[in-house]
Amino acid sequence: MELIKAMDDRDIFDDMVTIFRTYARDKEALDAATPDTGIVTDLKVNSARIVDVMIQFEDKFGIDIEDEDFNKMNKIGDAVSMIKGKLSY
Amino acid sequence: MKRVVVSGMGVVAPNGIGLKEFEHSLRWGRSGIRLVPELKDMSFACLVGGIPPGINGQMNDYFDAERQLSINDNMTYASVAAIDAWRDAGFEVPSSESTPDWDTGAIIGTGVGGMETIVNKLVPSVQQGKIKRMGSSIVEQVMNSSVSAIVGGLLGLGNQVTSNSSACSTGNEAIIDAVARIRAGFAKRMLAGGSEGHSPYIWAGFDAMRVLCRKYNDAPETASRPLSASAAGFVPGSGAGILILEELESALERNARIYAEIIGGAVNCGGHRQGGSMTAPNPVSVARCIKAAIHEAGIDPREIDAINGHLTATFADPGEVHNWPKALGRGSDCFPFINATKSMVGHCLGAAGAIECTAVVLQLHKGFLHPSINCEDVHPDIEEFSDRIPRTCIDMPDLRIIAKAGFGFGDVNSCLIFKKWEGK
Repeated sequence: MELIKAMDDRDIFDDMVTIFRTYARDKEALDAATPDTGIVTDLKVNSARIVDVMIQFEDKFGIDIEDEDFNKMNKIGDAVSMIKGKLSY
Repeated sequence: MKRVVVSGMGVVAPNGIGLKEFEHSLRWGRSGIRLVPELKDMSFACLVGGIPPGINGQMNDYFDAERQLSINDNMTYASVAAIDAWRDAGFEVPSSESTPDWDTGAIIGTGVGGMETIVNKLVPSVQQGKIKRMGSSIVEQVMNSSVSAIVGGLLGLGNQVTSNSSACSTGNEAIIDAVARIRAGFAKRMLAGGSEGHSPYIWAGFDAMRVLCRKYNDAPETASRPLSASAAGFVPGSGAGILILEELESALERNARIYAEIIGGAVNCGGHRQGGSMTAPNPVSVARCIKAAIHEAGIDPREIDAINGHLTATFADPGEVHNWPKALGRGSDCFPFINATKSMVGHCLGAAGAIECTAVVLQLHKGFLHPSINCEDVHPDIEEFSDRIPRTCIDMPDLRIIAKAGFGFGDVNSCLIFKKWEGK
């Protein structure tokens, strides 16, 4: 657990890109992704599949994602911040 | 009224995936019925079934990674058959950015539907209070229209996309309804057929009714025995069959290869009267259905060269055979050939009619009649028709017209009349 808590933004970001690999319809946008990349708008992830992505985030990082967190995640950077915040508790 | 032809086909059957393998199996009487070990673990009496072989290795040819996470076997079978049929008709699978094809739709039915998803995912998740963990794709896998919905998305269809359900008559009915839509001018092309997965939970109810074959578990390939004195019930099967139905003018304009024309079709219900019930056909309605299809085709019943029967290998087979002379006005002295595709694939339920129609069109196009296997001992009640049942493949270049019948729980009936395409 200490190891996970020590994850920096880059580690979290890289793990997310791996998870998004299945769901992003725009693979080029994923290859060029930055924290400012939109999950639905740029990666073209089907909005219905966001719940599946969140389940994978929960499993990967050992966290619980609440509905209010869910609604805030428009960009990859939003998700990184949310996950980092939960890991720091 | 517009004429409707078959310009493409795709099939996922227990004895072959794709037209080439399926045709080879049909010609050589190769059964796709195998022992299904999990049925023994579950204390089924019937331990055999028809499951399409080897589709898992081809998933990447049809679906991207995201789709593969959101489909069950039923949807997979329908999609593979539909994409194969689409390509067979000379079309390319469009990109996800393309404009919908407003002239093309789909009627693809299923008998029971996404049972494996209900049993393996939905029920356990709900019972364990893990709703949040079910993910996003449960609804699209269990809704009745799952099989047509996924095909609509894969091929970018913009016309009517729907799923019908009429038990074992489903596949035939889908084709008949799609023909009507094209004839009425509402669509230029329709993908039509049926699909069914292979969950033991679909088959269990039939096993409980004691209508599944339980006497040939040690010899699976001999278990499906339509027309036989030693038939012991039907063998459950699964898979999908899809036809590309097309307005004749459209097919001619694009110089498409045309397999056959659908010249007649009819559906009806016996109303659970006159001997009919939820599970048995009213013989009067069966004869009416066949006659209605022949009437629409505008042919003399004597022009029918062969019948592809419903013929499931239950006690109902002799009765089905005896309904045909009444409907056609042709006794055993001038009866058409009659064969049962189920002898090789089992009873594929909602997919049965569609897989069997694919067999019918292949036989017309290639000029052969496939054997009806496992009926060396023809049932004594239909002995007079014995020489009209092919036991080996018959080359028949002058084969022109085949009638295809299907009957289902609910006392529903369907009949199609296919004619070989001869260039006009």
